[in-house]
Amino acid sequence: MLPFVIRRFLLLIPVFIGLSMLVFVIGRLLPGDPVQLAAGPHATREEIAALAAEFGLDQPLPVQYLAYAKGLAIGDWGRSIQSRQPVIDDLKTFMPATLELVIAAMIVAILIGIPTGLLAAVYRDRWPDTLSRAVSLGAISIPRFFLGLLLQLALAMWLGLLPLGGRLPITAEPPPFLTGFLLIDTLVARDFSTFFLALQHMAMPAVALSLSPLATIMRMMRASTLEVLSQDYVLTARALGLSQRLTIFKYVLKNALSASLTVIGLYFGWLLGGTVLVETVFDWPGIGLYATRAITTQDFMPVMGVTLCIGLIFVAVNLLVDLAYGLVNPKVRLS
Amino acid sequence: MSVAPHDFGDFPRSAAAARFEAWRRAFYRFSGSRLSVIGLGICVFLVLVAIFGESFVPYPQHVTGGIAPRARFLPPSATHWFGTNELGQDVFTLVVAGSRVSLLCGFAVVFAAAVVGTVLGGIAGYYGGWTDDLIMRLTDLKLTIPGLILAMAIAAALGPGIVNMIIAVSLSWWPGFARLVRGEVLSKKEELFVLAARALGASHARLIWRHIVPNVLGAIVIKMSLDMGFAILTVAALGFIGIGVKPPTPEWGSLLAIARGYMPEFWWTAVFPGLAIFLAVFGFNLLGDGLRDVLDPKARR
Amino acid sequence: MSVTRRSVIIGAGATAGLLPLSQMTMAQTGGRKILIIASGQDIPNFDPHVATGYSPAWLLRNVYDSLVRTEGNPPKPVPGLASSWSVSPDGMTYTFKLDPKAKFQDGTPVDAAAVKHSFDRIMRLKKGNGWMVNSVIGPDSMKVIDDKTVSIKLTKPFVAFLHVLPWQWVVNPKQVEANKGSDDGQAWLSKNLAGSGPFRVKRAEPGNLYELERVADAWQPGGGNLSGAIWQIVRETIKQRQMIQAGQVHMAADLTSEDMDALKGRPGVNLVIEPEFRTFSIKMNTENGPLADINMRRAISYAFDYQAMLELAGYAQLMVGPLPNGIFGHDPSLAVPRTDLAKAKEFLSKSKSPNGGIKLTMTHVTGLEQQRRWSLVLLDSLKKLNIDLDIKPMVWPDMVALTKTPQTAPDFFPVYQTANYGDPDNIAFAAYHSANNGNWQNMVYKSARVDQLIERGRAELDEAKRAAIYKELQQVIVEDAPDIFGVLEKRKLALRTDIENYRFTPVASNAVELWPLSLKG
Repeated sequence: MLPFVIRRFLLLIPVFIGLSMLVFVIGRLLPGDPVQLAAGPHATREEIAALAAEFGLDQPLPVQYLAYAKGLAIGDWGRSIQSRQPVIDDLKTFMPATLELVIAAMIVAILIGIPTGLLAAVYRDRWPDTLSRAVSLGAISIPRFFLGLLLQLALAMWLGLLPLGGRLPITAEPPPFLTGFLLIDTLVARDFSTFFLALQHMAMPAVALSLSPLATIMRMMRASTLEVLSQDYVLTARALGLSQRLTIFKYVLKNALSASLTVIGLYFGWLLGGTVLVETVFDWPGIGLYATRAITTQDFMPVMGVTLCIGLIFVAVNLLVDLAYGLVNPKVRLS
Repeated sequence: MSVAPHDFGDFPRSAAAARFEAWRRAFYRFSGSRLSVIGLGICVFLVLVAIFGESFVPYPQHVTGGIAPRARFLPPSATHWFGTNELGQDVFTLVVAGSRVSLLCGFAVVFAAAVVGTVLGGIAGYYGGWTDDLIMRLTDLKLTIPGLILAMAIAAALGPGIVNMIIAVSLSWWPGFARLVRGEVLSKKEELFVLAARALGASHARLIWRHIVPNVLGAIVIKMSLDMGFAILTVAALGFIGIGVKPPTPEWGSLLAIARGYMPEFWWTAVFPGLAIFLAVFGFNLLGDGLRDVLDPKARR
Repeated sequence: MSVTRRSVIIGAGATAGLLPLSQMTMAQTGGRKILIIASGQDIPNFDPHVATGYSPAWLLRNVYDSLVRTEGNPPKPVPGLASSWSVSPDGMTYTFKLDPKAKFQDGTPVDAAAVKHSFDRIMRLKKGNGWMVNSVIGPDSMKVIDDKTVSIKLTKPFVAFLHVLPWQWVVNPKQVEANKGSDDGQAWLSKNLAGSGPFRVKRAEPGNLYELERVADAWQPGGGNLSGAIWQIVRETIKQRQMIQAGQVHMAADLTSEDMDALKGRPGVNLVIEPEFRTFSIKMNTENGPLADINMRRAISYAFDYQAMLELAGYAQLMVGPLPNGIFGHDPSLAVPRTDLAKAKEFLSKSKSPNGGIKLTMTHVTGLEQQRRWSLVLLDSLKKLNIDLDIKPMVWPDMVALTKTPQTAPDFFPVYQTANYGDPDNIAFAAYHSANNGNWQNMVYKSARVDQLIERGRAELDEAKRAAIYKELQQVIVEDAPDIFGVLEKRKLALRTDIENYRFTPVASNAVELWPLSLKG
């Protein structure tokens, strides 16, 4: 196990380097003149030049990249030209909101996806199966932003049951910062009314975000359960006198675990990027909204920071998932 | 690849006839699945609407930006099936006209991504070695970056417009194809008929063109049809964020984005473009799913 | 056991699920009187001599003081740091007596030297609102007469001088000098404050909110009961509307006409719909391309569908000529182009493209719904002349960059021009004087006659003569057709009924002065 872990960690180094280069290229793709932008409409040519020098933008590209990479290594991810704040600080502010939302969406997906997938397999080719296929295809086909708008229209605007957006009402006092996850921090602070408010605010965006992983987990669960049901060892186990229910339960549980793991690995990075739309619709103050704003104002350091950060989280989560697989199934370590 | 015993029954038989037979059987399997047929129906309908719809819309002048300020925000009625928007334009007309942009962009994205991905994946798979390493590491990297953010950044860089949007989305799309094609090429390369052809002295070009491409094509077509729905979705998402087509081109995502400001009173300006996106993505997903079931031997159970 | 605030909230939490959200959130402000304003604009910079836009203006007005303030409708200069002032008979020298109580938030008294220090900085930086004064003051203008008296000697006559002073704030020299750095304190002041105003920044979360709290021993006389205020950034107007309706905010600053209609008659909401000196017109490239041809410009001025624009603008009125309706010197009887297709075609036939067939470009600010609508009105109007319009939504700084030369400037450039001071010189000078060529306010238009009239107008002390000058100026500009004169949108604000002492003033009315306001209950 240990050599496997070490090898996986060593492989991360070239990934980091490659990622930072790619991110730098993407950042430089952005149009317009960020310096002109930051300097404002009344700036003179000299002021623009001074600002460019301040941000090192008058250097040749490779020099700029080296400076960027050096900064990354020591935790300096550049500054937002717009807010003049260090990008790393902005990420620390906005990341927990996004992570909390993504994790909530994952939990919703797993809680709904596993039982429905199981049901579809047990009633294979009968109406629950057809229904689940239609629903899962529907779920990945409905644009998240459209579903978000429909939810807002129905639950917030017409019925007034849930808030339109945001994480907490403006006047609510946020709990002391611990994890940045409001649902955890409020519980730790035993502030249940704020916990309840946070939960209300999270409901619609989490549901809107959960649909794609939900559909996938449902389909995977169906397929793997069908496989279990047709395996020889199930027949054997049954022949040996184990009750059918217990057998199915045991193998199905294992399948559920590995299906969840796969989906987490597959979707985590994807969801982090996919929150852009949901965060836009629900005004959720996470990195998706931050990135969108940076892209539309052509502020490239934050765009690079967000992309790099999501890339790193994606790689890290996949590493963890692989390690978890290694624990669940020793055969994987060989490959 | 297993060969069914009865295939030897009517030997000798032309390859064309065999292929026809295979297609015929695939068609039966396909038409046996109700959802797939519904998907096909939706797609055919949408393609027809995209091609001919614009000639039959009730207010063709609205497609090119005509406005009617006195008829603003009329609710759905017999004269305006989907109501009118903030400029007095007929929403039904705009939604019908928008199908052309969405389908065109969706197809162009998938096609461009397939071409780029196939070339790069093919090279990587066929030649192996450091070319393979280089291309595949690049692909892996691209896959760690969220496609939508990448597409947004590129689209913002290029500025609004249909062609720019297609470029932006396909640049974030090709790695999937590259991976798929590389895998297929790697497996086909070692199969007997290719090895035999190589032993007979066939050139690289001939090997690739005659023996590998036709065998990989099936997988590519399946992926294209599966991806089409998501490509339409991504294009709409860019429009929704506001970095899509140029006004006054009607595009579903941007129609939805504008209509957002007019909810809940004027819900029809948002709901109908949204339903159109959903219908298109749903139709192509059903179709792609059905096609995979009948064409992809691995997915068949 | 004492009842803490927290335990009260937990107690309330048990029933929270049954209460509408609004009541819950309002209850939580408890005894503190915090006014919450919803606005779509961030406050990217706190430097009073650098920042522009209404959102920084809101913060700066409440955190800093200026020599005079502006109040009322029509707006009048009222005492600020200066408790009184006098003007020399030739109108060239202004002498200000500072309020003896005035002190900065760190306790240092505001003296004449501090005022001079700030004006010197404004002249050095040439940024932000400096353009309003920089053309009329010079290095020798500022004079410290005694500790509490300062005089400003203009280099050129400028009758509206008192009207621009509310936007020239005074910083604490002690703090600025201590943090001067290499950029005259710009980096420091962009995030820190050195003011004498009645509020200070308690919390700044860029992109989200800015919270002000009342300075305990504020020197300003009077004042309401506010203990603080929050500038909450809410980008969608629809959400601003929902929040004011639910009572989650006390004021919504950027509502559309549709939002106002939806809010009409809602309990607890007061609507403010007032005319304001804010013009919207579409500038044409008079120096380069097809629109350099005056006949083409006139043809377009007559082809434009003004009625459609007015309908789409909601609460608005059509502009009559280049100056805002109702401002001093505006001529309501001015003959301006109105939609007349026959006349438009007549002018077109005299132009270099008598049958149209050309393609023109227009930029507008991405995401500004009204500008998008009006671009489409123009597109629709131009079709009748067989002219195509290419609409390019862009971010504002990119648009500004285009205005540097006639060659880069687009054919049509939409401009909102907000009067910072209630005087015709403001818009006349900014939008039509050739000194501003290359700036967004007036990218290319230049006319020696117009320049001369503007300069005479700002120097003339006799009101009747001055009105006559502006009358002529308006005729000359309309004749030249450099703009499609658009609409004056009314200011649309929604306020909760529990705000007391609010008085509308038609300049920068969305950058509300907090000091006089109170909250009921």
